[in-house]
Amino acid sequence: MLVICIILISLVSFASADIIREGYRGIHITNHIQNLEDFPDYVFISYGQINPAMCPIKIIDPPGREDTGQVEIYYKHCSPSIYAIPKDKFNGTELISLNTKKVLNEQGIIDYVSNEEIISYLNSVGAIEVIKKIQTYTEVPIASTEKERDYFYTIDLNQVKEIPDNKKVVRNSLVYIFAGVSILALIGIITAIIFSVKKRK
Amino acid sequence: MILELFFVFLLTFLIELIVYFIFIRERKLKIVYYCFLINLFTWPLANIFYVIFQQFYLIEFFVIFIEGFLILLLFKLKWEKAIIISLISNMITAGLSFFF
Repeated sequence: MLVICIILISLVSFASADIIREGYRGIHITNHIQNLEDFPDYVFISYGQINPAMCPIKIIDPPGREDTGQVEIYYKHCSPSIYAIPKDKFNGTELISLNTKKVLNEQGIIDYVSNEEIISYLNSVGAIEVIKKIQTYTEVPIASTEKERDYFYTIDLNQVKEIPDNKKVVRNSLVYIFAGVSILALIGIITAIIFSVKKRK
Repeated sequence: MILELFFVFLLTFLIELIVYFIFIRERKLKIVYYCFLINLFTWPLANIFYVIFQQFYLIEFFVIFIEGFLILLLFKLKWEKAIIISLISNMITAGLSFFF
């Protein structure tokens, strides 16, 4: 009985992981790296720190895509770090194959490559962590006018950044327009009432 | 999106205007003007509060009450008639919102 209860409680906690708190809503955070072109000898990747199945390795500005320095959106519980890998040690196919590679783990179960193995691989190719634990998702009060956020980073290979250099909040201007229209209408109503009262006098 | 919102507002206004025309004996232009002002006041506020509180019926209740009060003040009707006009017009528009 106790075992069943524990299983049920643990299942409930898993289920609630995806639920947004009451009174809150989720918004995306887009992270931009502003000076990628200053490091032509490096390839930049993001990795979500949980495991490659949930928070996969992604190449920032892969060949064929316009250079934007934009980090792709991750699942809300991923806190990806950004790594710089020297171009001469970078093997894109091998790196991306780690996202889907399955191995026999210690419990004898076929599973995705563990987080530790990914980190160890990144160390073996001389990856330098340049940004730690970036956010790609947050929750704001439902009444908030925030629509999305943009975080901007300037990279320095000798430093691990944890806070963005700049933040921009995109707000929903429709709320202000609606409130403004309502106030104007209220002024019109009050004026009409005052006029009709004066007219009666 | 703006166009869509404008269309919804226009539809609400026109439906409520028809109800006002049926129940209120006043100059047509006056009815149009006051109906427009009342809707311009309550419609955006109702939308803002709906986004914040997600309480459709509670917000509709307040809209009926506020519009009834404004009809009472602007058209100088009895409060029962004002509330009935507001109730009918808002029941129709709220009912239609389930279909669109």
